Amino acid sequence: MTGQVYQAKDLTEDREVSCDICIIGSGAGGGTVAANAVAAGKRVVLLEAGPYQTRNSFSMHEQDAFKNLYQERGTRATDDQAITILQGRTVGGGTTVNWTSCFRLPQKVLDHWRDRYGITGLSEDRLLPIYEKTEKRLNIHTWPLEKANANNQKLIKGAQALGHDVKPLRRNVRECLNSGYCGFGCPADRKQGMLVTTIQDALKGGMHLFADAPVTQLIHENGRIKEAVAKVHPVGANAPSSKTLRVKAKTFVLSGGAINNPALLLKSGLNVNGQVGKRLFLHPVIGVAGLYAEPVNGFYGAPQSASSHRYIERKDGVGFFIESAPIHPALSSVAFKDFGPKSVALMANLSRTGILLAIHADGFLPEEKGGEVTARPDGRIGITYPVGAKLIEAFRESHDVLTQITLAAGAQKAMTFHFDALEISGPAERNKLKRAEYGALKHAIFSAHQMGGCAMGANEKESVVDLDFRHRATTNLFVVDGSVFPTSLGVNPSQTIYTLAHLASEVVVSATN
Amino acid sequence: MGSTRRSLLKKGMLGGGLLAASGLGLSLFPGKKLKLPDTPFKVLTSETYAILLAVVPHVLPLPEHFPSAREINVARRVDDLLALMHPADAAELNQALEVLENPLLGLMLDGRPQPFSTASVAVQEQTLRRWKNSSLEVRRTGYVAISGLVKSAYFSHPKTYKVTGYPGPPDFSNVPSPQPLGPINEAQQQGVQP
Repeated sequence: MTGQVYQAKDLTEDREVSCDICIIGSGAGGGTVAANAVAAGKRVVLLEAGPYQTRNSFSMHEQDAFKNLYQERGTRATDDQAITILQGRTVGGGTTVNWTSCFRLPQKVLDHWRDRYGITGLSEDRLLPIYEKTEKRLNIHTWPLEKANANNQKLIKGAQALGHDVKPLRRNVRECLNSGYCGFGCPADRKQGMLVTTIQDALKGGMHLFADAPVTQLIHENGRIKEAVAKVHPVGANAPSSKTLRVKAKTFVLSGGAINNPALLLKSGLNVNGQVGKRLFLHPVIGVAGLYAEPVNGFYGAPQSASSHRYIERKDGVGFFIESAPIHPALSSVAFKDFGPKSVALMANLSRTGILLAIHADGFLPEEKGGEVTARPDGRIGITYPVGAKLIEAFRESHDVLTQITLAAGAQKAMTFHFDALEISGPAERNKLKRAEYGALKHAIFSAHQMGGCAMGANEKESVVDLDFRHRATTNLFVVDGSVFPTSLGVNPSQTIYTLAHLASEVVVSATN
Repeated sequence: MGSTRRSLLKKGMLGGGLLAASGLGLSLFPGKKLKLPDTPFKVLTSETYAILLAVVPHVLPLPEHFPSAREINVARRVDDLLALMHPADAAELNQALEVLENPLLGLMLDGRPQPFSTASVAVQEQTLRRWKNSSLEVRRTGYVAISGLVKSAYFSHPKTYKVTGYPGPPDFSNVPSPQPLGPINEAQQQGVQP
């Protein structure tokens, strides 16, 4: 029997539903568990805070896409507005709007997690069949470098000119149109995110999906979650309707991401040793733009085709890896933090502009405690992220590296996203970078990868979930997504989340038997 | 008062923090009030509308061949977005604009207490620059919030694509979806009765 999709327009009355497993959040974590749980014969209800949008409703305009598909209408940021946080809020979660770059788990990260956090059991033998299964279902494969758009070609050319190794990326796409609209929801179902893969599998197997249904409370008693309470919230409204959806289940799976998960746990009185919301890692991103003589047209073509991990290991420093950005007007205008004629001139030259990104692997040094998520009394989520000395040092280095790559790729000038934008027309002008200030509210910082906040670990004093993904203060609540990472990753996180979610599925299903 | 300010700072970085940093009440030197358009704003007030309109030409000093901010209806688009956000976020943005209006900055910059909305273009420009480079983090926060909203309201409008060299999105409506890959698990293929 095929399951059903319910949206706000269908939820005009209060409603109660029961099932075996209630999954909160339909992204890489929840979407994966959903299909596995249905395949194991479980009655599953999947709740998604955002709307059910598909290729028939996706808009290829930024003015609609951010408003409809992203957390807080695309304006989510740390409380001080220093870090802009791009995070999906739609059926399929981040996998509907991400740029499709996939990596298997880096061995160094697995080793660190085992040695520092006691996370055992992530052996090559155990992970390999999961990788293969995931890669088959989501069609993850190497994307040939010759398909790279001009912006990615600049990264390849510049990095190779400096003698850096650049690798093609692996992407979860089928017959990709190379159009450049990954961040808007794929317009032709070519991206193999949860929306068109595991969620469809689960619906075919009888799962019920409720969109527009942000969970506001987990009701618990004696260490068991009894009920998830969602307030129906149509995407066109700034507040929930008065309608409530209550889901009773044997087992609950929390997969709402590294920011919404801790906020819900805190609101529900489910903190664990004060650890919920702590150790939030954001893979802080800085960018450098290059102005070229010829068109780059970075708004078209797969956003990310190549990456360089040359600087991921930095002795006693925060490492970073380098990828490219899609270059659409509104997001670019926000990245250019300066104002005035120079800033408008940058926009007038957008089609000749390339943008490279440095993505910083936070959370590996002992002094890096990460950010914190809090639940504010007015219902908003508080997000703080102190940009510490080690990260500032890394920003200084990554700005310099991106500038060198940009100039080596043939740019007339490189431009930073500083509040006082720097323009560097040649290697001799790199000393401008030395004099510049780095850190929060000195230049643009973005996050496209949110991790932590419900850290996994063997030590019950410093973790929120145990090695079975089980929330430490309850018996029937599992947290399954990037929020359980005890550190960031140093690679794009989607495939790590798929992988952990497959492992978690076994535990979740057997806990429900 | 001191403790109230501290608690505001903790709660909402933007509105409360700026209010705490602003120092003085605003009522002594009233700024410009603009008649609101016939279609009412959902968040902006006649005061904050006037302040926002005064900010726009600084953030977007548009060359002649660019569509004007009025044509793009920047203030309306800012208001529309604010109206979709959490009411407390919208209120804080209004507050941030009110603090930008603070006549004390005009006093510092050209010796006359001048609210932002009625100050000279040069004073307005300097005020924004002071916010952008302020040693008070909360002013830089306010600058980022206000300028970001103005820029994205303008450059997200399809009418502005052309001046950036962006031809806009292609039409994908006739591009077929690939045949879905079947589920990889046998149990899924058989279907499960809920």
